[in-house]
Amino acid sequence: MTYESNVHNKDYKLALDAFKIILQASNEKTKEGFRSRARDLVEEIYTSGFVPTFFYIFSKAGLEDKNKMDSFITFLSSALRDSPNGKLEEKEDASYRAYLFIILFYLSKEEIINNTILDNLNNVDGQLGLINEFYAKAPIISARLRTYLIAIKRLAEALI
Amino acid sequence: MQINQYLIKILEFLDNEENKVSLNKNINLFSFLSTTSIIFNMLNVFMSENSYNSFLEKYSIIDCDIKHKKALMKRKIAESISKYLDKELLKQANAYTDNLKSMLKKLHYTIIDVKIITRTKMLVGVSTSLGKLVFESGISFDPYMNLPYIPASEIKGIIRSYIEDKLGEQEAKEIFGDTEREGSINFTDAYPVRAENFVFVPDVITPHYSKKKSEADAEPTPIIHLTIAPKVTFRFLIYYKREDVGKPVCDTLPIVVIKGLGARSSVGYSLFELTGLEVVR
Repeated sequence: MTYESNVHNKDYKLALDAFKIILQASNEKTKEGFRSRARDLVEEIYTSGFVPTFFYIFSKAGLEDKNKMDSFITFLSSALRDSPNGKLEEKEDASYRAYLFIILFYLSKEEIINNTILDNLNNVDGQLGLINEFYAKAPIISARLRTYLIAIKRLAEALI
Repeated sequence: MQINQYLIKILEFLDNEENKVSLNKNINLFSFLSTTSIIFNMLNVFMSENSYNSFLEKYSIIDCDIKHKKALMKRKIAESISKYLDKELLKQANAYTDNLKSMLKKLHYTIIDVKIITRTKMLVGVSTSLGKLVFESGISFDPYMNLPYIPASEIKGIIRSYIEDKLGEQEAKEIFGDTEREGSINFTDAYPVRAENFVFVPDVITPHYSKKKSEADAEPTPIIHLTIAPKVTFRFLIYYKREDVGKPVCDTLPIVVIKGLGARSSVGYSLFELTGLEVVR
């Protein structure tokens, strides 16, 4: 097997893992919202760039609310420790949180960003650090993320 | 330099009236808007930065919640963009079309040179990317020309649909082709070549009842977005070799553009007037 197809297989597997977690954690309405997110955000990342689109998703995810932020961080870190628990509640912004989870799950599993950054998501310094981190690593992220997100899109279109 | 410092520099363009000149001349509107969207979407983070710049300082002084501040900033961005007008770029677009025309002439095409002017605010490409991360709706934008444009496919589509209605499907297939045969008429994208005052103008749509079950759920949701201003002249070319396709298309053009070319024409947006039609053989 070539190096490239190896990498892609790994991306598909991660997509499957992440997608399963989202399916389990969301209700019907969130799933439907997530399907639309998965369908058009890949294209948006392509045209507007990863960093702008990421922070658009971040802002739409309603994480200014402290409770939502806390439950999101708990959800994310439990999933990264391979024992996902917690639910994404039923609001409109839940589908954006789900997509945010999809992206952060990949970046963390592939060790493109480290977990200390994710622990600091809830404070301003951490978020500022995230902007800098993403700009520094933009070439790697853009190159790697697309296959995975297209896999997510296909899964969403097939299963929701 | 830290990236966030660079982002804050971007804000100075929004803030400083003198820099407006350089915003027009040196900045690519597409990347400007996507970079600005980072600051807009993470406004609370940038406001807490120690190195205040005067633009962000305004937002930290105002006493209201973050949602309201974002709404104010969104309006500010829309207003700054609407001041964006570079006559030089419009001239370039005109020269580009001239150049294209002379090349097509050398290839022995018959060319129709069309100029249309917006009568009302115009929307085209609402679901494309310019400013989508701020306004959640877009405008067809060519980042290399640094100008909004009307895609040729859109112009062709609307003319075809009109000809189908009037002359029948068979005739339309004859002119525009089908899956078996290629069409015998070509269109170019339409670029703005002249503007009275502005190219962009901010606008708002405020649905009260969409997806609401009853009066008790009704709620106004103002959505600020960009549109193309009235009195902007767009120019495009239609070219072909078979002489007989010229007449139906020329006859259709004035009617089609009056009825609207773009989005939301049922409520009077995107209406045009034909101001110039020149056939070059």
